[in-house]
Amino acid sequence: MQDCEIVDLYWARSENAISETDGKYGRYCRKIAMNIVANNEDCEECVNDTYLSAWDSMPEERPNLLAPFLAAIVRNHSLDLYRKNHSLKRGAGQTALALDELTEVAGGADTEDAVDEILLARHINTFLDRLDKQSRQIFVRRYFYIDSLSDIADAHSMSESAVKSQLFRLRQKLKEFLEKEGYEL
Amino acid sequence: MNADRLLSAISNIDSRYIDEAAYELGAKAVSDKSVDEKIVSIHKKQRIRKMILIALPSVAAILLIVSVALPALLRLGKSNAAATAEAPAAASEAASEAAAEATEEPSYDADAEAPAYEAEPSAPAYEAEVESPAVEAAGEATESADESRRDDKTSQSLNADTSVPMLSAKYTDGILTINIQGIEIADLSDLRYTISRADTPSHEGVIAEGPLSDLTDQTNITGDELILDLSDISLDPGDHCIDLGSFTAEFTVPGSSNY
Repeated sequence: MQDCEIVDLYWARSENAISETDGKYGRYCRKIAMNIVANNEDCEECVNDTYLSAWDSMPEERPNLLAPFLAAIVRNHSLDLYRKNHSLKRGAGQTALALDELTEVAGGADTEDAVDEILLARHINTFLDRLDKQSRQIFVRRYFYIDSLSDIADAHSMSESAVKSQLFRLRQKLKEFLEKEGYEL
Repeated sequence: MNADRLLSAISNIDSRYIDEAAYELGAKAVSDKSVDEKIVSIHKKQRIRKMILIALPSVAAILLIVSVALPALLRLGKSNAAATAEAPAAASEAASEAAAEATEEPSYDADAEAPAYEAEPSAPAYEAEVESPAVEAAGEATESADESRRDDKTSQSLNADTSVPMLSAKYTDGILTINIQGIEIADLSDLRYTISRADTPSHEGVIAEGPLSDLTDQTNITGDELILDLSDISLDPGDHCIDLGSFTAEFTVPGSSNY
């Protein structure tokens, strides 16, 4: 079933919308959730919360591509659950590692200044737009999907050390970019 | 801003970038060019492997056929060729042997063969034994050559196994005079005599026998007569035969008893 047809089901408030979504993107959503929470129970919880959020967001929302729409929702739920649990044992260390890596960019301290996450996302989009395809994919796979270095290396036929080096360079570039945009890092 | 905020903000990045990186998570990428090339090369290798697996049995079958059938066919062809070549080879061999045997007869030809053979019908067997152990294919040619040689010899030779001529002889007072005109006697000392009655076969009615030297002192023939002294031999009146090997003479002992 095409994405537009599934969205139409949501808009029509059809009960088949969730089952069709799970059939097409269930594995996709579970993978993202598992990368972050690394726990089957928490993973299922995050995926179920995702479907509920999708149901609630439509009919206002009418995404053209259902996959990234669902990915963002499941990621947020997974991160919230991860934060809620706040345990390094969970998440298989990948989320913690990703956070540690991004600390190089954003800094460790939590500032009181409210950060407009939507604006920040736009700047990150600008940054990503300037990257080549492979670098962009590596960045997104690491910091959006919280994929492991080994999985990224396998997917791109690279060594882990090469992926690690690439990510380091990308973080440095992002930091320079955000500082230019006026962020105090 | 801290890392957590940054991480949360990344959730709101452009859906294009999320979708771009949304190749099968945890598996091999299908949108990455280098991976695509790798997959193409893998498929190519698989195709080549498949072709080899299909072609290999065919090649093996062909090699098997060639290694087994071809030698068999060659052997069959050779045996046929050998069979057809045997007759001409044998004929040529016979011809060569006949030519070798006929070296004393340079003018030997097939036309001359028939007359020579007809003149000496019983000779071929004897001549073949004397000449050489000729092969069957060259038998006739050998016999023909021998018959030609025989024609050059005197048919009445004492050493030839020919027909025995009957000579005339006269018995008077114990002396036998044999007319040997036209007879060639090589050596008298080698001859033996056998006297028998004329009405009985010689091997049954032998009256006397012995070396000819007992009956004569002659060793060579002089003239046309051979004179033998039979006075020591008791002969009844009647017809008798004296066999001297290659010829025989008949004589009559007069009616009255003379001893």
